Amino acid sequence: MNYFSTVIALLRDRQAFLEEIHDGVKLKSKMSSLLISSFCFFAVYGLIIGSYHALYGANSVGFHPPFQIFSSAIKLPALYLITLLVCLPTLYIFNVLFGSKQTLSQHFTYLLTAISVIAILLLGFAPVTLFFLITVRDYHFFLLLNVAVFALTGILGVSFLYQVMRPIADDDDQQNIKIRTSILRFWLVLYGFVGSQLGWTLRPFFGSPGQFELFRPNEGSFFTGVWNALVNLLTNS
Amino acid sequence: MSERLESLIISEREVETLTGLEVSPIFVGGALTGIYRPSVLGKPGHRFYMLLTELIVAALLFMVAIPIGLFFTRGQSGGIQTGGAIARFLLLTTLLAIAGLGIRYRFMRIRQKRLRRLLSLLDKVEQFNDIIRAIALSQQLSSTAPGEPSSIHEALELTRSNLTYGLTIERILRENQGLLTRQQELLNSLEANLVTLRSLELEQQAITYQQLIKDALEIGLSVQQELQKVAR
Repeated sequence: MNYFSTVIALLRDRQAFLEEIHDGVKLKSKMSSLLISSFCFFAVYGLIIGSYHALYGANSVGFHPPFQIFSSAIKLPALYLITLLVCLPTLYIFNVLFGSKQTLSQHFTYLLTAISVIAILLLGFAPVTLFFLITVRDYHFFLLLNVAVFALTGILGVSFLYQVMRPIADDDDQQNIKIRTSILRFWLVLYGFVGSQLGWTLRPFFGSPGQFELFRPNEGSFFTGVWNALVNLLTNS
Repeated sequence: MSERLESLIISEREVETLTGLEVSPIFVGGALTGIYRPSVLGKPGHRFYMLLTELIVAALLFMVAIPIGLFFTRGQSGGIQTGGAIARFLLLTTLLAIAGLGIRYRFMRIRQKRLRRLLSLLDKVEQFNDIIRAIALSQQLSSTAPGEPSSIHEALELTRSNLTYGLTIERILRENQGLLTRQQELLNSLEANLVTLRSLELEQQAITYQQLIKDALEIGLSVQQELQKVAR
């Protein structure tokens, strides 16, 4: 499919791809292709993590309707892409205020590039996750394995974004560059914070043993959830 | 393909420079914010691609509608766990996604109307490039042929310049809604090119190229007709 060739172009020649964004070449096509490709990659990974509930989640033996698979296939892309949409205006407005000459479309394309890198990294981890899904029947282990995968891919994607979007000294005021670098760092923290909260709001992604739930009640936070899973894993082993 | 013929091909990049829009064989202006080219419906491969794109766009809209659906259907506890709540959530989110699709199609229709002349010209550019490729192929098949006669090359060059004039005029008119002096100048040179093309058609005796000259003339005439419609 043609959309995926844009991601291949990004992987093959990252510098040329980023220069094209900087020069505003084919931005609309790039945005569309990156958005569609990352959606598909996240959906594939979502299908895999949602399979846990279909395979082992329900208490009764026999066929379990694959609701969680479809639910996770939509929720995982939603987590990354809605977080991006929520945080984009903050980055753009603050950058423009402190001297950035890049347009909103260019900001959006840069962010989508980083999201596509995360999506392709997750897709790379898909066989490993699938392997553990088939061979290990432990909800807490599967949950922590995926938290580790999401953290690793997230850190790599965020560092990629930092390298790409870090303001460079061309004809800009040195003071503005310092401020914009700080804005970018602050924004990356904000992105992580919004993302983890949205992830908590949209949960479950894996589907804990028991009946299928589309969205769980609002209680606790992402960090208490990870802590509880860790305590459960350590006390059970 | 010989260098002479290759230089006649109107590349995607050249079309984009002339029109100021992102053009691909399926879209004008990207998959999400642009419009489909009408020729897409005529090709089964492109039709499938279009269908797949629309399915993904629908899923994307559904995804964007999730927070709104969640906000309106979450109960006291904040969760959506019962069958009724799930059905309400799905219904609301699907309706929102359908409304989004409706707005997208409305927007596409308006843009398609605005760009109908450009879309027609783009089809002519594709047709012209096909002619060049057909000539290159026939030259490859009959390796003894020395290359296309100079009159054919002249005809193709004229058709090429007709098309580029056409795209330029369309862009000028699109970006500046009124009539401009440059438009008349471009229309005059378009007409001069067509007269030369007609004389070439009469001169050309070789049966092999007669049809190609006719095709080139047809493309030129349709460019002229489209632009005269715009000028009215």
